[in-house]
Amino acid sequence: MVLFAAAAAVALVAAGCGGGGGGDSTGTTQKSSFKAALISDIAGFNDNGFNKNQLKGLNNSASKLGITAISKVSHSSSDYQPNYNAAIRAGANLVIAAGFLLGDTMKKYAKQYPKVDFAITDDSASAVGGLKNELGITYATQEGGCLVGVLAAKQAEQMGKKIIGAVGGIKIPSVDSYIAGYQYCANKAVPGTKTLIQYSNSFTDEAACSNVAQNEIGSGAEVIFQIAGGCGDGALKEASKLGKWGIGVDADEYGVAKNILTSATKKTDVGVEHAIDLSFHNKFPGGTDILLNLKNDGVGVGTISPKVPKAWVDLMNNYKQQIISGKLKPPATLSK
Amino acid sequence: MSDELVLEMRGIRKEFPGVVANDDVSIQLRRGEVHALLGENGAGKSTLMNILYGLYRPDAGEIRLNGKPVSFASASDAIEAGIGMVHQHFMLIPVMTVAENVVLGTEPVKDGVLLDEASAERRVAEMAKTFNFAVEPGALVQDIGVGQQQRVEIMKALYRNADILILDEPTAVLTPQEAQDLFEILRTLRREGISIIFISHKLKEVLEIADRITVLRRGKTIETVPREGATEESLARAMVGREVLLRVEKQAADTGEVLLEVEDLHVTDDRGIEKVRGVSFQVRAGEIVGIAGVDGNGQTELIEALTGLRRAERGLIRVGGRELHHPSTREALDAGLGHIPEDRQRRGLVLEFSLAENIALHDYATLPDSKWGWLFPGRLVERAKRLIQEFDVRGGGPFTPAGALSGGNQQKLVAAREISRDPQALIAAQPTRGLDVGAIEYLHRRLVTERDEGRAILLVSLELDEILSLSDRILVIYEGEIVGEHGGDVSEEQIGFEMVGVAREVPA
Amino acid sequence: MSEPKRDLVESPEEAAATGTLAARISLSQRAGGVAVPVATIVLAFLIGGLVVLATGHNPLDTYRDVFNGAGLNWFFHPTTSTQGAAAYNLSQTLLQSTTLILTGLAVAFAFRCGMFNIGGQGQYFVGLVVANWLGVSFADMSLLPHALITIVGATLAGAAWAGIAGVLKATTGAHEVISTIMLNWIAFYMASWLFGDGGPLQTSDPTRQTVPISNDVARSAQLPVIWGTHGFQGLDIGFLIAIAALVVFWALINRTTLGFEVRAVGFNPDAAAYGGINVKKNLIRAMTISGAFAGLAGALDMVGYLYHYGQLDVQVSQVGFIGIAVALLGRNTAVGTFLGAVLFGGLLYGTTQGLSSNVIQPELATNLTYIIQGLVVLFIGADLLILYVWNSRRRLRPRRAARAPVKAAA
Repeated sequence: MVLFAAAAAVALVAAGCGGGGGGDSTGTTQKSSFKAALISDIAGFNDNGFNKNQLKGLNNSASKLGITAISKVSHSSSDYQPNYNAAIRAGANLVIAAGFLLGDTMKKYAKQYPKVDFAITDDSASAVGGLKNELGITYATQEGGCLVGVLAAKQAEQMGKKIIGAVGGIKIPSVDSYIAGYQYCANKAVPGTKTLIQYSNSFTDEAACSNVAQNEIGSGAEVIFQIAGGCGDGALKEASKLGKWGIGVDADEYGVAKNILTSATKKTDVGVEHAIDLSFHNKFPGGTDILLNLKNDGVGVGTISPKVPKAWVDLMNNYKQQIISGKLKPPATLSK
Repeated sequence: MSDELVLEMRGIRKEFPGVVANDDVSIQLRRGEVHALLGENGAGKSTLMNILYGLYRPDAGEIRLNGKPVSFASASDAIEAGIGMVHQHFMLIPVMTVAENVVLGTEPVKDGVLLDEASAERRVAEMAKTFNFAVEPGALVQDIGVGQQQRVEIMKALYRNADILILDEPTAVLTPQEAQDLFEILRTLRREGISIIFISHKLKEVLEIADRITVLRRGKTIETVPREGATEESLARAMVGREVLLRVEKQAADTGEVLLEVEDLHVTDDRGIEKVRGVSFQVRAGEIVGIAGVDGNGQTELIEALTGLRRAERGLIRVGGRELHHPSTREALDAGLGHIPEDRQRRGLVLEFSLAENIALHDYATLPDSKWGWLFPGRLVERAKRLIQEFDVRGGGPFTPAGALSGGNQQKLVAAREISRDPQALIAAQPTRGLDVGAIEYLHRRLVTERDEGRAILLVSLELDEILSLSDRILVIYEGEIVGEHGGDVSEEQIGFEMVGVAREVPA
Repeated sequence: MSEPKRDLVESPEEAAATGTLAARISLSQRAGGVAVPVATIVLAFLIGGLVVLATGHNPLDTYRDVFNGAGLNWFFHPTTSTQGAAAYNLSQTLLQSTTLILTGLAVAFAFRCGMFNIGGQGQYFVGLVVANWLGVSFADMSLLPHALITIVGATLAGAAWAGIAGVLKATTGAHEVISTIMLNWIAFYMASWLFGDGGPLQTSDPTRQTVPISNDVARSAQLPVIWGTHGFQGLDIGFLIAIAALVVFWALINRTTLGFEVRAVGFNPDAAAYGGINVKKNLIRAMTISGAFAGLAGALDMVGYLYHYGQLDVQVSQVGFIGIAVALLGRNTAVGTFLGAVLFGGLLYGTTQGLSSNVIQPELATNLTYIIQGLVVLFIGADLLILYVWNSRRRLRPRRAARAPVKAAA
């Protein structure tokens, strides 16, 4: 995935965030009438992570900026267009697509309504037409994946097998970027570490992920990294049950099961808030992407288990510094 | 039997929407008598008994038990008062033993909760011995025969100290032999002072077992008569309300060419057991050939093979001179075979279909009913109207679902369809089973008429009376073989022996 | 009145004894009986309302908003332009109903032949897949033949898919409920694979190589829109095709010898066989026709307005299962299926579009449709259950067993 204009965008984001308090005085004329809409993908807003966090971001912005929030839930792909239609009909100034699945629909509406701003989580503006009123909100999740990969590799080495597992939901770019960073840095931290990668074909069915985890553990995996949303919680529970370790995804999943090493977090709420700030302050960088990464704290790691030795945490922080400084660049895609 | 009255129902009235099921009905039951309740289907017998058993509340009238007026709110009140009922449809649990079924609901317990199985079996065994039941208390209900299951039902009632026993059409599910065994038990019970209400519409058995007979017709009590002096004719007249011809009047057969011929037919059942073993016979135009036999001796398989419902192993069937090898149902129909099946509700009719659709069941796919797959419902209705009139089918019009008709009218409907197709040969299997006197009379007359029209008629029946009164020739089937062939004037006794495999000449 | 009105009126308990009451229940169950479905809906909405009430909101407001969200308020101010919200919403409700009419018919037709086709979902997927394949291929054909080939091909594929269950039932006696559920899973995984990363039907767009979504069907396969804007999910002529399918269903069932056979087998296969009807042939044929309806649903969705499909869409699609509720509620008739489809189409769309957080808990909004759908199936299921128990009693009735005679019977 091409991540261009990142630096410029981030600078703007910083300005937007920092100016949140002062923005009140500059934006008084727009403030009451500005409307931001968020349209969920087919997982809906009850998914305990990806969509739900974005809704949280929308509502945060609404109370912070005093704007009107419009949220539209989709149950199937045939809901996308009516939701866009309804958002625009309601006078939204910015419509945010909660995931790449909405790309096609957003492309159509962005073309039809050039005066409305459109943003999309997990996809780049170029992929949806690259129009002047389109913004991609992208996440360098491979960076978070890298950090948890370091801990996973050390843990597996200590347990004896140098094999770690990744349980993906469905093979899509936003899942694979996590795994790519995980695999890359695990092998870097402990050379010879092997990463098992399997997909459950679901983001909701805990049993499916539990099965996949069981499989990987059967093949020797000591640590299981779930990248499958609600489904993946099944993998974490299974790992703990079998005396292995799990790593959560997107949100801080420290409490999901007994043996949670840590979580690779992705702050989708932050991305949404940034996008709204930019549009609200008439600084919408149309046609480009904003990138959330380790450097601007858009991705990271969650709570780390106290059982993790300090030396490993130090090693992980070392990787973090290398990534922030640009010395280390974990890949965002899996080599085929 | 004493003259002491144990039960009196007086002036009972019960209305259902649109129907008065019981209208001023009265009945008196003496201690130790078998009292038959006789009437056609729909005469109100079951309503009356359901009132007695606490299932319905009467709109008017009173019930006195041992002289005291009582009122039952539910069946358990009735059971409490010593009334037991054996329904036509048994309410037994197949996977439990006889003893368990008998004591169910009032189980003897040990240690407070556990079923005292030994005690239950012992008590049931004692009871079986007292009343000569010949039932093994430890046997599973699913493993015993229908006749024995019925005895379990009776024991259930007796176990709850019933001294009044209601039996609802108890012989409907029994073979003649089982019926005889039941009567023996009833006589024993009568001696022990149990009073029995015996619901039936069969004249013969009522005359055989009952001490007194109350006849109901259209919800009213017609008469109560002692058995002595009652005849089938007099009872039939009371039931139907007019003179009924119980004997079929017919001329000697005027036979023509052979229309139905079977040669060395072998048929196996679903389990692969050979049930028809080399049967050969002929039926000529203008004659009724009866096949007599005890149920299960290959009659069903024979009929199914003839009509294409079952594939014969080998053998030859000729209808009107046309040879049929393993005919499909359709081929048998097209060859000119009519078939009144033994189970009109399961086979003969689609109960949910209208009368018009049922009449079209064989011919819906040909002109005039349809053309190129397109159905003409109007033409179906027209034909139905004609046949309903001609065959006197009552209780509905062309659009009425067949299931809404009474049994007799359902059978008339089947007959109407089969006969109207102008078959060369007509197979009538159990044509009057479960029908009341009026409908039996009609169907018997109709079969004779069709014989006289020149059709070949094969009558298969378990009712020996029916075979004897209708047939011009009689074949006896036993274990899948024809073991006897007689003229219509053969003695009942001779057939009876042959039906059970005793090959012996009865001296004339 | 001391005499019964008619000669042959039976008392109710004797009607029951001969099984005619069951016949009547099943008749109203299968052929008519408006009261039960209406009561079912009222009760389901009532309980759904109680749930809304329990969360501290006014159910009347909720239902009013669902009604308006489904665009049904359009009927009070009809306009032809879909600029207005009501008109647009109504067009979307009808679009959803189009699918449900057909998946409902897929259940209803098999039901009329005595079979429970749970496989509508799988047959729908097969229709979608084949329509996508045909619609993406042959891109240089002209409109009518391309759309036609695509629709016919997908319909036949759905028919063949369901036909497998029919053949299995006719030849081995495998129960269609089991086999259609199995076929659902096969279709589910097949579609997941086909549309997924690296799958044969995945997009060929080089910039979206890892996105598990198919290509759009060619413009020449896309159906004309009759209400709304092409490309913006306007109501396409697929709706009219679905209406035509209802008419075909009605005519097939009631006006053809095929329908006569199907109904006879459905009511009583023994009697049908006795009547000269080939029961096995009808089982296969009815299942095949059922599958054709579901396959057509997939085809019309694909060329009507979706144009593409994704692996994740496969995961969440429920239209085949909602079709079961539609058919049950519609008593397996054409008119009933239409009304049921519009009801559920309106509910699905209306709860999505009509409900804001002012009138209902947002978490509940998602689920209100499913609550009502579940209740409808439950109540109707209970109705079927009563019928089933009734029939079992009849089946358990002791029969004269064939056994060797012991003594003289005469």
